[in-house]
Amino acid sequence: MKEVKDFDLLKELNTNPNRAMEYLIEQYTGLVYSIINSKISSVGTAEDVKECVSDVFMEFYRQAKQIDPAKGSVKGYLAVIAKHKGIDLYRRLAGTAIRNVNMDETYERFIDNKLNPEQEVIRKEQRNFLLQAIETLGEPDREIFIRKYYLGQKTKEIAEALYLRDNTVDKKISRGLKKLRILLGGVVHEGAEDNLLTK
Amino acid sequence: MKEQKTIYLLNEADLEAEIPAAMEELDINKASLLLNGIDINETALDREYIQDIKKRTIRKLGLEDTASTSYDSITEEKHKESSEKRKGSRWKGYAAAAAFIILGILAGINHDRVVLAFQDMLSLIPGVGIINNNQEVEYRLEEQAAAENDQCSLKLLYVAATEDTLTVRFDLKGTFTEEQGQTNNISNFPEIFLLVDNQKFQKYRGGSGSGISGNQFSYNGNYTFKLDQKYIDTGKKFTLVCEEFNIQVSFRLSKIDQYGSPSEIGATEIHNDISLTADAFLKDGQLSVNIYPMNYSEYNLVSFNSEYNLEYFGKKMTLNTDKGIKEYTPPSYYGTDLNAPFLFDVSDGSGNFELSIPFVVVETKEEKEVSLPIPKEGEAAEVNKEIAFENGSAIIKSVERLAGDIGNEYGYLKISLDYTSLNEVQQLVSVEFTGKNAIGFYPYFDEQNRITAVSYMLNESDTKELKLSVITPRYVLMDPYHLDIDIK
Repeated sequence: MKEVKDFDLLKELNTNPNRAMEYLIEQYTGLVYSIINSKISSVGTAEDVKECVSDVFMEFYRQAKQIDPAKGSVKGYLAVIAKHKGIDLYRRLAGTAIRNVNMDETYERFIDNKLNPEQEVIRKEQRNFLLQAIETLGEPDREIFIRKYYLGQKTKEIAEALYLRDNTVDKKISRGLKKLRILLGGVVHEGAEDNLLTK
Repeated sequence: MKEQKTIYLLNEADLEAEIPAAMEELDINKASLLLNGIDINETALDREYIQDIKKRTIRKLGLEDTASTSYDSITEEKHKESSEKRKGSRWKGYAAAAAFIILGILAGINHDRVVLAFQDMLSLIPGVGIINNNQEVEYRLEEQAAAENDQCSLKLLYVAATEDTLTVRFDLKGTFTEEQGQTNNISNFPEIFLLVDNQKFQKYRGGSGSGISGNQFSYNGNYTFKLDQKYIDTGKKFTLVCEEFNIQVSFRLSKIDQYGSPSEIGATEIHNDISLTADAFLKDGQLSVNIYPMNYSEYNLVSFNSEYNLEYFGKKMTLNTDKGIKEYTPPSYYGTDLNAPFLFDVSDGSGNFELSIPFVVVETKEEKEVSLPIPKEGEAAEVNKEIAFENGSAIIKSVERLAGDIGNEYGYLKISLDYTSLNEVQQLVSVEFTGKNAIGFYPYFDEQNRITAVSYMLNESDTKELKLSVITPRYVLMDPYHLDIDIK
């Protein structure tokens, strides 16, 4: 794909919004679709996904004046909007405002427990460390993790995107998880009174 | 003494739940860093799907729908015609060493698909139209091919072949039988293989996508098959087969047209080792002009690589005719790597067309370091630092510390810029700034479309001094191109 710099694109959004939106949709529908589809395919129809993808671009346009390329890339903005839209729609479709999206029982156990502020800080720190650890995995492992856990892509999709075999992707995920677990095992927090993640 | 606790996750299952949860909380800045360098465009969404998203969004926003449906037919006709070689001799030895191939490869097909799919086969010059002969594609689809049965249709979108590979992009759409519907799901992509001379070839590499809604299915693939050289020939009949849906489509190859020089393709002019070639045709009072650039200069060419950056210093491309100057309608098809045509309304019967392109925009890879003071919030500081590049300088006049806002508690450094250029016909119009943790910057443009200031987001560690790299100076090369358009 042609790469248009974010600042050129935002300039175009001001001067020729329809042209800029067409480019944006052409360039980023794959990203937005991946995120939305992974969030709501289990509870919604293909039409729901499509409508939500369109809503993400609409929301981006509405926020265009506030979009600050110093804070994040167009890709980052779209991804975050897609996450939020996907979660909202999932909740509506699933008929609950409590249940979180795409998280298994283990995670729900964490969030259903009310954390005190200190626990919240520890959890945040833990998650920051986890994200940093993913950054250290090296390529293509890092990209595989992001595709799987951020974009919600399936093994087959990741394998095709990265020209890998399906079982290579699965092995890399499995090994990566082990590596992350070792990396995370070394985190020490002082003065932690209680921690849901402490085993 | 404070209690110490080691935090760890007991098993991979816990960890696997924690990763998406952690990613779920990413803000825009962190999401941008995370996604940096990851291209998700390979998701093989149906062309119609993307067009539908465009239409929905444009409609909801109340914008003008420029997602032209007539575009494909215009392009189709254009490329059919372009397969006829034209004569011309304006090319003055510049590229005598090279033979050129026009990528009118695929008469009657959707060219943006070609480009998208060719990216893993070829080194394309963005703004496709002319590619160097050192690439390997030798054959294209002779003519469109599709097949249909009671259950589904199989359509070839393009075919291209090198001496020992054949790449096919196809759509397979239809309805599941009741039995198939119970067993199929989106991850069960049907087996599709290639037959030639009764030899069966499986996919060597490539991607695929699928969509299932109720009992309707839509599969699309971009498959490359590795074949022995003896099978790649214009005399061979190839068949793409999907046994699961009992459908197959046959096709033949033909040789790609080759040209000895760009001037055989259309009017060509060169400045600064950058050639622009116009390929035009007239239909229904609309002059449709594709501009194919070739860049042998030291610069990265920005113009015509995308449909942006077409106006600087109040100048833009025009068509001079015997009935006055005509302005272009911009290409209506964005972001597809397709070199979309510029349209000129010449329904008044005007003739003697000369396309006037007042400049091209280029960038260099130069990079300079700069340290800037960070004043207190609300205050400004004079800087007057010159960042000298090979052909011009960016002057950092002053910096100003702006207050932070949501998502940025440390504020911004607004950097005011001016430019000096060594050569009047080579105007420096912008530079970019990068730094540690930088995603980008907020630009301020003047009426000439130059960036005259940027706001850079500060981090916790940015206290007294900010070290930045100043990169990719962008120049407007103001040597005009005048291309006499031959009408086909």
